[in-house]
Amino acid sequence: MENAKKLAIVVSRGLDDERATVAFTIANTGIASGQQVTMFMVSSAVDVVRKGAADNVRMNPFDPPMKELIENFQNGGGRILVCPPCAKVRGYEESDFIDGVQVVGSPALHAQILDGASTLSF
Amino acid sequence: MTSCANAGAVENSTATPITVAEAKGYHGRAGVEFVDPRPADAIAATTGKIPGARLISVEDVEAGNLPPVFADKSLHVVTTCMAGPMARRAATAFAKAGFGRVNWIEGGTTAWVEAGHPTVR
Repeated sequence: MENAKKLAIVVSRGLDDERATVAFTIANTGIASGQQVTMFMVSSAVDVVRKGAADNVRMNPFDPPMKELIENFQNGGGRILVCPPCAKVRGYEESDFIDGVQVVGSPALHAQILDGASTLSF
Repeated sequence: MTSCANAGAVENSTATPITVAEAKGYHGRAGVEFVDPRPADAIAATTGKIPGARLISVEDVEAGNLPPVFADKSLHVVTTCMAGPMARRAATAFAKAGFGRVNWIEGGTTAWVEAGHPTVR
């Protein structure tokens, strides 16, 4: 993994939008291709990683369930960050999110970009 | 945690040791940065470097002279050296700088190599 490539994905789609699933599918493919992948959840996407929210969600029958996508992402070394104001406005504390999710602001995203990360947005 | 400018800094953070097995589990994960504070020639002459580790001197860590990625204080920092003492000093400096999750590898890169894990030169 010497000089592993980095990918930062900004996700703004919630559980009412199939693109939330697509973001995790592509994130998992990024890990499988040897990249270090960070997802930055903003706006409605914050709800995707709230505890229990994705447990019974399968937005596309040709994709795995959302819970499985998230578990595979985290188990594969992916990192999930949540925008602090986006969490606050919804009344969520850090303990409301699934294990491993970090509530941290945009400096974390820019730090990845300055370190050479490629970016995608959904 | 409210501000969008929140860089994840933590007050009164402390660094703790981890085993090589634990370090191996963190290695390569997004959001985990390995740091080796030794000079490059000393690394090349001894254990080699854990793949992906950044070479940052203890003096630079203590002075806050860090690469841009370390603007994110929510990173998990794992330090190593030849056997541990210098890694511990660097880890303490990262914790003092506000990084909330900081570990050093017990036994350093020597223990990493003895466990059969690869290094690069």
